[in-house]
Amino acid sequence: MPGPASTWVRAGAFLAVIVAGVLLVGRPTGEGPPLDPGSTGPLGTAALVVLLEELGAEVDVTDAPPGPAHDVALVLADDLDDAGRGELAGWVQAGGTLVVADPASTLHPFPVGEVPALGMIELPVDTTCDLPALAPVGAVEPPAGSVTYELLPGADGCFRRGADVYVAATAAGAGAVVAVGGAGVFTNQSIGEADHALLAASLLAPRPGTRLAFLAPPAPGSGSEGLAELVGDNVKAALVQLGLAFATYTLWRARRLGRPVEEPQPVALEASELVVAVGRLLQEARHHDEAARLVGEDLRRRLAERLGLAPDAAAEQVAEVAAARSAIPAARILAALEPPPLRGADDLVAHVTHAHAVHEEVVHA
Amino acid sequence: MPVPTRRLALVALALAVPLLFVPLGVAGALVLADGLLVAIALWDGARAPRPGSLQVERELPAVVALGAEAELVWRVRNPSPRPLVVTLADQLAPSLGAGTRRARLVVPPGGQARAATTLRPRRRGRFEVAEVVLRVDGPLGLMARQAAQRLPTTLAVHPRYRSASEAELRINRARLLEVGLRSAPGRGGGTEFDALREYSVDDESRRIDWAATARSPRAIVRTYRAERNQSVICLLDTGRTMAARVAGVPRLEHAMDAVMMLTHVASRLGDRAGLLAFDQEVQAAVGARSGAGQLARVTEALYQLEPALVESDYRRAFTFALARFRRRSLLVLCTELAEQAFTETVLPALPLVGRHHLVVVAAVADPTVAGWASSSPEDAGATYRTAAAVSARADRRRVVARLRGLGATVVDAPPGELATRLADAYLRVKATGRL
Repeated sequence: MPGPASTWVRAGAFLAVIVAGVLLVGRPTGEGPPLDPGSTGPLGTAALVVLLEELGAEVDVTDAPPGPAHDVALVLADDLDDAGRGELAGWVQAGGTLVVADPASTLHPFPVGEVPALGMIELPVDTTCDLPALAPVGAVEPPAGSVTYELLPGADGCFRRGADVYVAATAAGAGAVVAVGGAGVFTNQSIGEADHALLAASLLAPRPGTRLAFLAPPAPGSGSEGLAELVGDNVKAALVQLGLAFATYTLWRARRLGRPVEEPQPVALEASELVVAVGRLLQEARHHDEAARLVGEDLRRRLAERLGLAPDAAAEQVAEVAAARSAIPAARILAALEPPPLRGADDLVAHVTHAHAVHEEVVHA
Repeated sequence: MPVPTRRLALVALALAVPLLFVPLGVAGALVLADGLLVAIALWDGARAPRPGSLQVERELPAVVALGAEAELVWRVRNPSPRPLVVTLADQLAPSLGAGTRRARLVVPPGGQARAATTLRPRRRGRFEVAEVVLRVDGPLGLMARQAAQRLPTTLAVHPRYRSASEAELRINRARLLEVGLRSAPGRGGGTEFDALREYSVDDESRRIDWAATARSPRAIVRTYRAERNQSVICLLDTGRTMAARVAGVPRLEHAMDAVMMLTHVASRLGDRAGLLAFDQEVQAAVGARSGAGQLARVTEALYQLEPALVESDYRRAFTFALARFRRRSLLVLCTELAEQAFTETVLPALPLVGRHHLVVVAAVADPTVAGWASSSPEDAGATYRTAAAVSARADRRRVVARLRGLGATVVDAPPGELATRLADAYLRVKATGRL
């Protein structure tokens, strides 16, 4: 059975392996966060920025809302506060075109349409389009996780799936709001597929010299909401109720039905403990000669009794009689009856074993 | 005192499910649901009758022998007009070995319900069972009321009498010898003249009554019977040396078994048996009497005795015995042959009683020590232990030799044999007329 120290060593080693595994598997890739306009990773959007700049657009990556000089604003992930959203809406009313690729954002008015039972399946959409600006765009293949929107009255839509559309647009004051069913089509890994690059160019750089405000997506883990705010009120109420139920259960269990009955117990001490203790004292005091003498004396008495001699018969007499009635040499018996000085515990073990053997041989002779 | 029930906890748990679907917000939903639940629970608790209004009875035998089983029955009467769910807990000590000390009863209105359990006591002694705790559920089972009711009872657990069958065997054999159905020279013949009868081939010729034979056509022999109405007094040591365990049981228990067997045999054979238990003080004394009830009297005196962790005062016990039992008796001292105690206390005091009484000293030998003394050890520790065991047995032999030198009979037997060998020693004394 391992000792406590060994257990701690094993637990420490196990912990070290876990930490090393986490560090190896979870280390940063160096490709930047998803949707980052500077990231060249599969989920980054650096290709989108390069594409738009190649087409003559002026791309400003910014955290602030767009200004009067901007023509188009792009929101891939909406992390704005209410004030920011208000400024953005005002900018649209003033004539700006806002492209929102975050289905959960309230910057666009379109409700999310029917979602496949398994949300990770890609949505096949057709090529029909009500927006003249997107007429050149042929096929679009929204990646997994994309959604479609219900088309509101007075709004236009493209790339239909049933009654829903993948891109929906509506006028807002002097400007327009365009909702795209996900930012996946603008990522580095998707922008080269189908007509995604054409879609991006048509929406974000419709003509050379367009000035685009690219609102930087939030870094992972940023934002003002905690985990608790992700939990709905009903779930919170149910969780509190579970706690109350547990408290009730505790109250029920805490009230004992009848007190424990005290009962003094009698002393439990083995009678042979005294012999064990005396044996230990003999051993610790290294009284091997005394121990050998006791065993030899006991053997002399037992043999005398067995051979019909007086209980106090001398050892020599007992040895002679025992030798005469068995095939054992008298000297060997006498050595068992009267042991020579011993050098230690090993000699004592040998002597007692010898005495026991002599007794057995004489008795069975 | 009101107590929530498990059902209340389950209802509170179940409420978590509808809360998932009720759009009232956290505070609103909780206040509504739990407020309602608390109000109902309080109403339920108020509707539960007071536990003191219920009538509770406990049926328990007054005496149980150690090793035997006894049934304990609880009866609860419901005076209210509706059925009640009652849970009770009895104040049973763990050593009573109850199957359960709790019971749950559904008592009909105006009626009663019963529950039972089995007791298997694990030690002897006197057990005070003072109160029963009752918990009465409300009509909905959400709250309960709990209170204790005084119901004092005493249960006596008597010591185990392992040698009962051996005692019967010896009683029957002694009676057979007494009526002459069997012949066993030197034993059972007794010394008290009983009757004359015709000679048979099994009779000893020395028993022929020549005077009676001369007046009869056939040979006539005198028959004798063992003397009756003799006294056998057991002096039971309850001091510290009797607390140690031999074969898993305290020495006192082995000694009690021997005392019970001796009392049983002696009282059934027409002799008077008595008891004196002592440590530093006299703990119990039973006058010497004969008859079937004497064993019960001695057992009643024995069952409460526990070994005290003090040095026994043998001189005081002997003095008390001399004063209490003046008639010449067989004085049986049940103790441990501890050399120091015997040398300092018993041996100097033994002549005090030896002059008036025939003394037998009975002790239980430890087979574990005997085994160590005769074993072939395998390591140094066991070798030293063997030497210590040999020394302990030598000390014991010296004590036995000195006791015998003072005229006492010594019975030093392992567990399981002590009682029978002590009874045999008594029968030998009786047969040889030494009393």
